[in-house]
Amino acid sequence: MWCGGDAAATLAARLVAAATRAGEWVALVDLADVGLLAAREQGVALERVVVVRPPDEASRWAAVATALDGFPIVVCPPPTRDLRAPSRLSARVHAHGGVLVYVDLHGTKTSFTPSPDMVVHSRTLDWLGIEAGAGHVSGRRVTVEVSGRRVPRPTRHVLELVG
Amino acid sequence: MTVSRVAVVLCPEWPAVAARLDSNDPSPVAVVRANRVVARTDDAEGIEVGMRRREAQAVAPRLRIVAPNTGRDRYMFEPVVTAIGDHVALLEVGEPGTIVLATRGAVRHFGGDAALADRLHSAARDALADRAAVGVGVADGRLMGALAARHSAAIGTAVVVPAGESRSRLASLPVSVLTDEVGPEMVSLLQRLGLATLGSVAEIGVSMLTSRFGSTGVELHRLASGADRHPPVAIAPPPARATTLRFEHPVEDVHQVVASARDTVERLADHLLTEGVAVVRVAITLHTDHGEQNDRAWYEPEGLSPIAVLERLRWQLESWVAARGPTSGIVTVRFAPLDVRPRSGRQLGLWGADAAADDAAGRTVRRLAALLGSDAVRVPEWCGGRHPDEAFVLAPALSAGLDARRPIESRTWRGALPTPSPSIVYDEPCGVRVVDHEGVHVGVSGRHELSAAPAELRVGGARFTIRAWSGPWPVEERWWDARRRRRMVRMQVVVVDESRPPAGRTEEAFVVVLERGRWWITAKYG
Repeated sequence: MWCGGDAAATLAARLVAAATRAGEWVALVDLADVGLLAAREQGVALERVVVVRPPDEASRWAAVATALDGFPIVVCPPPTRDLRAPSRLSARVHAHGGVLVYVDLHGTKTSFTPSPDMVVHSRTLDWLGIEAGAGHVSGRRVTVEVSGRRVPRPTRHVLELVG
Repeated sequence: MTVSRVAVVLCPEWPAVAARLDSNDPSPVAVVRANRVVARTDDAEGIEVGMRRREAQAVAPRLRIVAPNTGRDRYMFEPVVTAIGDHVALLEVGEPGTIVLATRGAVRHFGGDAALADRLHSAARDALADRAAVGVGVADGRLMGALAARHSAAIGTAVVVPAGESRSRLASLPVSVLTDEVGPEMVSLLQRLGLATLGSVAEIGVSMLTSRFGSTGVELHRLASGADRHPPVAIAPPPARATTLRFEHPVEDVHQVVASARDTVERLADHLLTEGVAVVRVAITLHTDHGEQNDRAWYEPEGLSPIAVLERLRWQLESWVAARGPTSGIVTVRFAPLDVRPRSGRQLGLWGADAAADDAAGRTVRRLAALLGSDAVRVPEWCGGRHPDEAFVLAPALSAGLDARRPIESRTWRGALPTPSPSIVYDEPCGVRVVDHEGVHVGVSGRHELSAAPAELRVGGARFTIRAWSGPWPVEERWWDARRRRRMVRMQVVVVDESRPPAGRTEEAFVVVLERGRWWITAKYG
């Protein structure tokens, strides 16, 4: 699945949180910029998280393929160069019954085939708790759109997110 | 408590020294892993282990920063290992830069501790051609040996601590000498408990330490009393545990030897696992078709996993081949566990997962480590700090052991950013400009007040309008240390790109930091 837009990192953390608390393992591959403290605040059980840092994008896909063999959930950035990688990986995802989450932290918005089973796109409406020189960021309102190949009726919600 | 007498050959700050020897560039070197200095050459003034990369660059602009490279560390250290190996039968290499050997047989041969130490010291110095500091210490136990060797490197002659004196000498040393063994957090905890010296730790007694610190307490007591961190077993492991791999035809390819040894090593590890023990020291013996033999012992206090043993086998083979030792293919490889210890609650390294999920994750972590190197696969550990990137450190997953994972506790840290925390924390912060309505740089006064209301954030050519901001929050770290003190202010800013059509505009929230007159984006609420 694909997780993109303004609140991609926060929503991705929310998505995997329940699974980690139930004891499932998660591999974060090539996501050096993910804030672990924030992930924890979203409910991720960090003791179930393994961080994999491949040296470049080419070895990222080998790492993702390997991680899918043993981790029920693998999170990685979307491809920027090798757009055929997802199609090579999708068979592996289905064979293991796992979940591969592409989290688009930097707004790359590349498209690839097969298109993801589920796409979660978010857009910030406004920030809460912060003004000109006062308060601090306490949360935000976002619109979240859920669509994708396996989502028969795309839906759209407005959520208030802490984070 | 019996303590074995050892000689330690040690090159201080070896990863940094090796990087310099390898390059012929004479400027000071710091090795940085995950944004932290892990080693530095002695001429890198003001740089200390644990400093952040940006801090180190600010203190010493001429500093050359290099990435850690275990292969380079081993390769550059090989001449020393070979030179020492000419004098003793079996030596033990832990991390590159350190050699430990039992003095028992060698002392008799050389006639006394002092003669042996001098001999080893001159051999090591010759091997390095006096291009790097090296020390030799002979003492009871590894800790005192290493400390003596460190001192020896500083004064330039070998240091011998007479038998039986190690404990009394250790007693007067500050607990900070244990930093490498138990970590800075534990050292700082001991200091806060008022235990300033190793003597005061040893005096408390093992039962008190155990009730307070669990299995770490036992190790603390052993270290403080001059013993090795893990007790060696009273009896040698039965030879039945040693396994030998025989090749039908001599094998000349290093990779092939290592690949073929995999099954053997994993069987050995499984076998030890069922007995409830982990290997901390293993001897690997290689034989060639022509009858040449190569022995080496490998030590890892946290326990050697099968993949770690295979890695050691590869290092040993490669260095033997590099020294032109073998003249034909390998016919036998023998693995003999020398020291084992009971698997404890803190068992690290040997994977014995209970649940199938942990097992699958553990196997996959080993495969990922084989694919990408063991440094590339990590698990988060709580560390704490004011900055979002300091809250967790990433420890190598292979040595952490997934089966021993416990819920990670975190506390709110004084001076940390308000929650919610930023969900994106940039590995490399990005330099930006923060300006007011007139386009003038926004600064901060000595009383932490902004010089003007921030209006615009400029990144390269792009301009973002600042809609809202909070702070500035001053952060002052290590104000007591003139060289390492850090002053900065942090702000949250909400920005929007007004060059876009209104429908495409969204507000983005960032953490910006002003340090030494420059603004940086360090994190984003993404």
